[in-house]
Amino acid sequence: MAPAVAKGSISGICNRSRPGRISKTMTEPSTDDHDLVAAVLAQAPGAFERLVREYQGLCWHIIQRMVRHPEDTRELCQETFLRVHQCLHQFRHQSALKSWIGQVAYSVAKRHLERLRIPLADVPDDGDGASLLEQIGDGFDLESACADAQAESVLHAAIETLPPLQRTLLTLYHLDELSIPEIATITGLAEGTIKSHLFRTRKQLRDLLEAPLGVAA
Amino acid sequence: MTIRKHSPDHPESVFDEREWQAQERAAQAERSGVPAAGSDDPLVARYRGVSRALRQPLASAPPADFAANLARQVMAAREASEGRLERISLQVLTALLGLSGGVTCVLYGREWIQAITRAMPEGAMQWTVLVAACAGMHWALEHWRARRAR
Repeated sequence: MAPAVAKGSISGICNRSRPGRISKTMTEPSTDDHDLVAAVLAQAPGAFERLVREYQGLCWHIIQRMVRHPEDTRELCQETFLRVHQCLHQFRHQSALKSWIGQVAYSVAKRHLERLRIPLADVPDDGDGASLLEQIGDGFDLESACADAQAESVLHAAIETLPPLQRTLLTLYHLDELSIPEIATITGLAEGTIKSHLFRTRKQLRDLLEAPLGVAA
Repeated sequence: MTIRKHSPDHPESVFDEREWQAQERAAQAERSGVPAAGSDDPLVARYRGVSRALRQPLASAPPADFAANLARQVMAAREASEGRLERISLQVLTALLGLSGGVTCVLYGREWIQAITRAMPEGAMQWTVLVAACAGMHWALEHWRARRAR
C-alpha cells in the first residue's frame, strides 16, 4: 500500500502555510524572507528574479527527483514559480518561504505524476535489497561494476530506480540538508512516515552494497 | 531494539533504533566532512558510503538564464494584463460616449435641425446634405479599398 500523502491540491497550496506539527524554530521565517516577499509584491525591479534564483535549486531537486524527465522538470519548475508569483500575496509568513515554495513544487510534481498515473511510492518491503537489485535493470553490468569497486555507481543506479517519493525524501534530507519537520511541511507527510521511508530506503541501499558478495558466492 | 510498527502508511515495517542511529551518525559525519576512520562502527562506516552517494549533486540543474527568463515572462504577462485592462476600459468608455451621444440626438436632434435650417439661406440645407452624403460615400469607399488591400 502506498503511504498516505496529505491532500493538497495546487489551487489550495496557497493556504497551506500553517503546518500545525512543525516546531517554531523550523518554520520561523527570516527577515530576508519578509524583505524579499515585500519587494516582489511591490514589483521592485529584479525582486522576482532574486526569489527564483534563491529557491530554484530546491524546486529543481524536488521536481527532478519526482518526475526525472529533464524537459518536464524545466516546465514544472516554471509552473511552480508562476504559481508562487500568483499566490505570493496569500503567504502569511507562518512558515519559512523555502518550505512554502517547496510545498508548491511538490504539489505541482505530484499532480503531474497523478496525471501520468505513476505511483508515488512503492509497497513497503523489508527485503534485503534484492528487489532493488532486480530493478537496477538489465543494461547495468552489476558484476563488472562491483569488480571495479564502483559501488557508488551501483548506488546511483539503485537510487534512480527508487519510486519518486523515496527518491525525493532522500534528496531533500541528504543533499538539501532539510530537517525531517521541514520535509514534513513540504510533503504533507507525517514525520514518522518520513523517518520510516528514510530508514527503509537507506537500509535497502546498504543491503544492496553487500548483496554482490552474496550474488557472487 | 527492533520495533515492528503497524500503521496505515506502513502496514508492517520494522524500525531498528540502533540501525537508525547508525544511519543518522553516518549522515551527520558526511555533512560535517569528518574523515572516515578505521575505528568507526562498521555499520556506520557502511552507511557513510550510502550517505556519500546520496549527497552527490544531481546530473541536471536549472539553466543559467532560468530565473531571468522567468522574470521576463512574468513581466510580459503583467504588462499584457494591464494593456488588456486599458483596452477594455477604452472600449467601455467609447461605447458609453456613443450611447449618450445617440440619446442626446434623439432628444434634441429635431430642434437642432430646425435651428440650422432657419439659420441657413433657402435651399442650402439640400446642398449641405448632398455634400455630406458625397463625403460619406468617399470615406466608405476608401475604407473598403484599404481593407481589400490588407
